[in-house]
Amino acid sequence: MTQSTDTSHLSISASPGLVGKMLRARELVLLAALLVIGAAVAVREPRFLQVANLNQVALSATLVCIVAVGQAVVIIARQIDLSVGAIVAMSAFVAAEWLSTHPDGSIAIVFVVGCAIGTIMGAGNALLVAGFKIPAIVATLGTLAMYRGAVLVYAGGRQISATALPPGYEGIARAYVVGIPLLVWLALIITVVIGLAARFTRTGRNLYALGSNPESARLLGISEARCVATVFLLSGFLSGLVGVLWGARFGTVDAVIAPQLNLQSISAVVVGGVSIFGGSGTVYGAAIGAIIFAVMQNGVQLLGISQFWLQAVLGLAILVTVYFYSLLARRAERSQSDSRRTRPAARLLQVSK
Amino acid sequence: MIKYRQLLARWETFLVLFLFVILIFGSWVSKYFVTVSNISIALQGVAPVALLALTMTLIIVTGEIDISVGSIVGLCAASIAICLSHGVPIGFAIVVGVAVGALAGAFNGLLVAYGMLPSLVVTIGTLALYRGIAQIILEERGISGFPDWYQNIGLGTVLDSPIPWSSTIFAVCFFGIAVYLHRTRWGRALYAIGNNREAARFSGINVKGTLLGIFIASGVMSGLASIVLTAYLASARSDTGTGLELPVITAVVLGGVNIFGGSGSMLGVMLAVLVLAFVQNALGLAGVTPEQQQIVTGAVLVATLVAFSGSTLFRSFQANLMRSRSAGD
Amino acid sequence: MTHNIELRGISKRFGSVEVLSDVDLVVKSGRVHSLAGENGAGKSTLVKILAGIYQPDRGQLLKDGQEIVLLGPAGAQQHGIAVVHQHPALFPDLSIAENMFVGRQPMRNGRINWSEMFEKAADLLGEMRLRMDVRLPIKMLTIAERQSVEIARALSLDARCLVLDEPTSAISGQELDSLHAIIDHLKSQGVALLFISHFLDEILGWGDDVTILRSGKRVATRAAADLTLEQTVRHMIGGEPGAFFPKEVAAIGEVVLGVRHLSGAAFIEDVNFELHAGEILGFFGLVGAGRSEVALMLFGITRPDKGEILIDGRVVDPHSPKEAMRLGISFLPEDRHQQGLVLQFPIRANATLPVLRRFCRFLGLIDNKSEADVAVDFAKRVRVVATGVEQVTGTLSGGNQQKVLLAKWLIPSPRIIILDQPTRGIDVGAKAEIHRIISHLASQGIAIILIGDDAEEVMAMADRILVFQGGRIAADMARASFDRQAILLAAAHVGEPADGAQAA
Repeated sequence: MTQSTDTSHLSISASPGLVGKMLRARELVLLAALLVIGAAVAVREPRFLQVANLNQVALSATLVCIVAVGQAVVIIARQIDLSVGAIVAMSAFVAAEWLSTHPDGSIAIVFVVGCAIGTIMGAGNALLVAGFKIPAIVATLGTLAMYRGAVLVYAGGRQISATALPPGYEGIARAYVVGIPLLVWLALIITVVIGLAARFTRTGRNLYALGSNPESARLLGISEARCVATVFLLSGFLSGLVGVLWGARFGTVDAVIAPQLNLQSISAVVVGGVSIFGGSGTVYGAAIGAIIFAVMQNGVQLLGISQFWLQAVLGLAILVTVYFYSLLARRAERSQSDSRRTRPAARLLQVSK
Repeated sequence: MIKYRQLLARWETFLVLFLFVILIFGSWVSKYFVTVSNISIALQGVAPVALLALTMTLIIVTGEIDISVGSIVGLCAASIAICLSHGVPIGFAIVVGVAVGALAGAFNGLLVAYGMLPSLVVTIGTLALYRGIAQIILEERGISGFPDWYQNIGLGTVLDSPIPWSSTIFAVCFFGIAVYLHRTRWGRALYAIGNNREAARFSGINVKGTLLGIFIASGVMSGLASIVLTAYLASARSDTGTGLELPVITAVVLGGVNIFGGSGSMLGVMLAVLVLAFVQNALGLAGVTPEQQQIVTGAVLVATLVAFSGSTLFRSFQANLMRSRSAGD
Repeated sequence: MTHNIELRGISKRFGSVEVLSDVDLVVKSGRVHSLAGENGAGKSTLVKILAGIYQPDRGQLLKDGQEIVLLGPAGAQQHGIAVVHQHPALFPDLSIAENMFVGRQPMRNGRINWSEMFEKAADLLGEMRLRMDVRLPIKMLTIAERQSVEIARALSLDARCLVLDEPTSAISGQELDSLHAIIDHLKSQGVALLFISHFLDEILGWGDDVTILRSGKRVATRAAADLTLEQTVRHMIGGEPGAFFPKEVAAIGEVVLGVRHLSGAAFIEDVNFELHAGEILGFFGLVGAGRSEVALMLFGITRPDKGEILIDGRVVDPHSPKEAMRLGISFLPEDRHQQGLVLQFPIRANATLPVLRRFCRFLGLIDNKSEADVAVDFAKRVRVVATGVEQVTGTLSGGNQQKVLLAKWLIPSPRIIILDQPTRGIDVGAKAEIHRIISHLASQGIAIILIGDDAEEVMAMADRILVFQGGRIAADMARASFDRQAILLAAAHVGEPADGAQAA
């Protein structure tokens, strides 16, 4: 009853078409899109390409980018973090307050405190989602309210203005290294470090596995609780970091800053090619997504388009991107199944008795 | 309320108990709490959220979500304002406002149902788009002069009774939508779609059309809510309704509706709305600022979910998400 | 190197039900041990014990004579036991290579070594004579390809005992051959194989040894060569298999449904046939041959590109399931969990879902009493075993769920019923009942299309068989000239019609 073990037919279908290849090089497509948008703006308004302007664009992207990197990791693991803005606000206010009352204090301590605050608040999210198994969207909806309320209460309507802050602090936001702002380097390093960790560590790959198929992940012994806790702690940490940087960059800090940061970060992540269902996409994509939004914002300003058009343009960008990705995915699926259908059936079905 | 009757009853029972606790707390805080006029005020404050929660429940039951409701409210408000500022009679302006809401909802529905895009992401996009259009239309301007009868909708009561107009509107809508969801075949179709979209389709349910319909309904309700809200605030601006989606979704989830779809009851949502209304009102009377109230709202949501996370209710929610195995294997 | 896994006296109880009682089983190196039994016989529990997911209450597990304890899936893996599932539990977004190495990716200098992972993955597949681009995400693979990946993964974990849990339910034709070839290869490598299937010809044909379970007990263990189909069935159901395929005589009436030059769905080409009242028309063919796709067109799920569908001689356009129902067509889909039933609903709600309108008097309000009455009536007719129509459908057995599905599609009083694999994954007893019902329906003048990939079943039930191949009808056979070999040949060949198969 031995049959020839020629199973080569299985290789015919299992190779990617053009569309499949394109999906895999998604980040390259994104970069291309970014360049196209930039080029479109530059053609109309050459001022766009001035170094000073490009630096401004990059700067305005950094804070969202860092938060988006954290959000990307969270979404890849099939979770979501709506509380990022509140965490940033708390960290920012505590940091700014401390600096304004300790003008000779060490800035490094402020960073430690800010990141610690962020991590602790992230731990709160982790407890609810990993510990009590509350769905992330609902849990972070609750913590969003609690955390924002906590900042509002703590701040009590106060506002810390730039003049109250030590010059060294704001210096961080104005510093340049090799012609590129320090903050940009920071965002770049963070993106790359986390991107590398996502690709080259087992923990990182476990997150992708969990996001792709939580049941299988569980069967294979991947600890869902540990992964979920990790992503929320990371997101909290990065939000805390951004909080400290916020005061440096914007000077004035009060309890209502970063009101839309959760939606901004999710938008950057989605435009960056990360599937809202988890399991695919990269932090590099999310970073590029944040840059794309910054470029569009800058473009609207430079091109003299009324500021009131900005929101609408951003919204359209999200819709167009999502639609585009969806088309791509469907086309890839169809080309795979088509190639299988036309394969001739050349073997005998033998049922031996 | 097709399944888990006993369990849902427990959730609603808990909400009723919670309501009692709040009433007791409130009356301890202030002797004015359990007065008719105070209750009236509390209900008026929560009216727009309450209205939106009704249609949001329908959407969430089918497994979708609409984050853009706040922006649709803003867009409708902007449309009304623009009409008024061009001398359009207010009756007509209101119609325009609701129509704009319907169109916005339809756009959401088309993308989700026919474009087959995830609703979370679509409505994040339209949240920005609609708010943006509102800003384009109205820019920095705003309208603040409404005729008395209009402001009555948000701030006034029916004839000489203490019942606010907005509560009456809510009661009518609640009744209609609750009957729709729990007693009609279209309502059952929503539960079918929320539990198993494919099977619903194979059973002859027009899934796409149904989804489009409820998103349009959500848009129309946003139009209605914008009327109530602008009447209440006595102003219509491009930022009207910003952030409304959060308390709305909070109310729905607090009401026991499964965020992933397939189960939930209108009674629970109504109780949750009342809970939120009275919590805020009681805290306000106790001198707690709106910001502090936010903490409490968030804490109430989280505490309820934590309390139920260990219960059979949650376990069955989770079992819901996985395929049911045939017994006896 | 031998690697025999033995189960000795294994017993397992859930609550008050003894799911396994004192089961002995030996899976030997280099041999395939088939496991047969109805649903509820305990096969699935046995598999879970071997996978380390359950612990036996009594009894021992031995590897090469040494007692072992499997602590969870990790424990099973350590002892070289791996399970390949019916629907492979893989990660759709991750690449083939990564799927094989989840949790144990090759490292170098503290980083994951991707190139080594790709190489190793390709090598593993190569050992099974398979060539695939290991960077492809799993979601782009067919079920058969995914199974191969799961097998490759198991082998890479140095599995010496492979449990194949109904691997053939969703594949056919070439893929079936490939799987068989892989199994042969594994045998030659000394792997011990436990093979579970509902297809009795595979149980006997692929297995070297056969064990039959019934109600949690081992009733027989024989060499496959010493067992006949009838004996196997008798052991499984503990009685005579006589009433296995009951077929009532039915009067064949007028043409109810006609299909002319139907094409569509990218590969369906020029399908023509007629269906008469009281007739059972069998659609046979391999997975993907087009049988279900034609059904989907008849029911309005997909639209044909060309051709006509006629009911009572009139051209109709079933553009949606609702319209198809209005035309008198009912359709029981292949996948009763994903497409057929809402498992969270009670039986009543599932049964009445397509025709809820009937129970609404005005404003769409449902009249609970009339709804419940009809549900109870039809549940009785198909003999659903349940505590009542309020029982949640998900808690029923497979066979009973299928009956609910049947009741659901009988309530609309259809003239034409299309059943896509109505007996898949249900036990022999329930199968016979469903066959009886189908037969009875035909005798009442309902026109039936029966889609199946069990040639035995289709041949026993149908008056005529249309064999599908590559989107076309390859053979059209009347009952009088049913020829199993010809049918199978037609299903597998391209182009040439099987000899003598064109009978009317």
